[in-house]
Amino acid sequence: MQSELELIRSANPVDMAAADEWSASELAPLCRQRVMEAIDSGATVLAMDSVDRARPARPWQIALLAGVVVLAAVALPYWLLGPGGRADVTNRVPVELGTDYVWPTGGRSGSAGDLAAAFASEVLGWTHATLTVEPGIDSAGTVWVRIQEPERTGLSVATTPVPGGGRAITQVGSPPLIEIAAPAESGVSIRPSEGAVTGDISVRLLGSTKTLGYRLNATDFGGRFTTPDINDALQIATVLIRYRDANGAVISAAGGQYASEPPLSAAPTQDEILADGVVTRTEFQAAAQAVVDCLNQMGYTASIGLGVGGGASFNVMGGEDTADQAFSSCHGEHMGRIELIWADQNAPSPEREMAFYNAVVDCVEAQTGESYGDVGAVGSTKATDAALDAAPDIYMACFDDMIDWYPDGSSGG
Amino acid sequence: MSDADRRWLEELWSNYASRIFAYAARRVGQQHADDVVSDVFVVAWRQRKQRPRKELPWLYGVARRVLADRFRAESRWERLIERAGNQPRLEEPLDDDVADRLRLAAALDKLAEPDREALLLTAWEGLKPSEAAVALAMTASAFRMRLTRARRRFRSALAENTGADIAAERSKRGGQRAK
Repeated sequence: MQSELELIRSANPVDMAAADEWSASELAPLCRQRVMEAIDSGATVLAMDSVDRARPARPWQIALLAGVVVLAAVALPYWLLGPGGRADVTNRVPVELGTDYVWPTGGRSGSAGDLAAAFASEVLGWTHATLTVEPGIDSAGTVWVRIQEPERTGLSVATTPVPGGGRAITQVGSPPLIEIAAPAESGVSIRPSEGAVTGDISVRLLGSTKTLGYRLNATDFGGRFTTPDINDALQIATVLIRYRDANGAVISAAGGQYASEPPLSAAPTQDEILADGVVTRTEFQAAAQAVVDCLNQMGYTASIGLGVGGGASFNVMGGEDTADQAFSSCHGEHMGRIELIWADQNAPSPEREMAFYNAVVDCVEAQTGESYGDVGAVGSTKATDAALDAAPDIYMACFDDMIDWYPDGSSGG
Repeated sequence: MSDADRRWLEELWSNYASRIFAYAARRVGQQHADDVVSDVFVVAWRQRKQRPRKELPWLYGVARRVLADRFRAESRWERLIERAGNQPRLEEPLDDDVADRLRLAAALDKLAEPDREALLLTAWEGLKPSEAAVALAMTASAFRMRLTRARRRFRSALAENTGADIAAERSKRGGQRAK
């Protein structure tokens, strides 16, 4: 019996011989010429707003700019919100973010559920959402609420008490990674979202009273969003991305808070950072930056993605055979022990981890009518194994549906 | 464009243009693949600072997004079906080979796009799971889960294929010929 992949391979409509034939024909050089012309002219082949924004204006762009100046005067408040900026964010305008919290700026009175409902309605435009408050609460008083709008994938948000009363949203879904690379290349990694055609990203920088807002297009998804407005990604305080379908309706969102203090001007050594037994966010970021600097000094091109939950993902380019060894060396020198302490400090609460796996099992049970028991204890896989063995397809679908529940938000699926 | 950047782009083209052409041609037909290839390389150029060490899987990821953007309006898998066999006329009897291809295409058509892409990147483009994961912006472990599931679903869809499914695929293809 042929395997699935063998069967599919047999139905391959275009083999490499056809591609080689194209390469050898006059068509390939013409195609290559088009590429070079497009690059040399700076023409936009696709909607690549995030990249094109970094280009200097060309004469035709200046003319176009003059033509839309009146429109811009009206639209500007939509994209650069000051303290008195618009609060109506249900349309294609950025969300006014806080520096200490994702939304709203200073918190809001009421329960975690009330806040999540307001967020769903006012920020996402979801007016038929049902809310489920997850069990468990961490030492900071964070309560997670799952928002389920009909025909949308469920979205979990973290609500945290604010000084003076009330709550604010501190995390939305699986937050994007902040990518630290060379200054002009740092930015926000935009994770794809199934069904998203466009979107928008709102960014608030440390110490700023403005929210910066940008549109996203399909080609931005899966790439890194950069803009000259953000010279140093470590200055990013909060981010919110709203994914939209072809009709412009919000279908999902992701966001979080990344920094509350300015980055350290000089990287302390590991011993200095660990002297008090605690690793702060700025210390962790400084250590990560030190690893990047170390690799760059060795001739590699390195970048790091930082998550709100404390995850760090390095990318090293150049010297494929030696890069791993170089990374081990730099990471060991500047970050190894710090990362262990940091990971321990930021481990998901047992309640949240159990809530996630119980929700997956509940989801399978709802579709099979069978009972697989409770997860019971962190690390116990009896119930999840039973559900997986009984209905692997349903289990995988449930797992995927709750992708933003993943404790580290890094599954990427 | 600096000399180094130009050299990089030329090397990228030399190494991978035909692979990307094949990828595009399998999905949108050879007559449109040229356009896709040029778009992919322009986008790759603009995102060159973000490229990982292994460029081909990353380039497939760029190609996938370019295709999604360009051909989003075409929600069905019609272009694949169009080329799944030898395009016989509706009234012609199907030989076994064409019937098999239609059956496979109909099963692929039933899969969700992420499942289908996981299978095609592996079977048609010959990517390893770790490479296909890069193209799909997933972790390798998440990709392996998806591939396992996709294989199972494909097998199930193949088993469920009915004469009506085959006729529908045949009809779609015949309809396209008439355009």
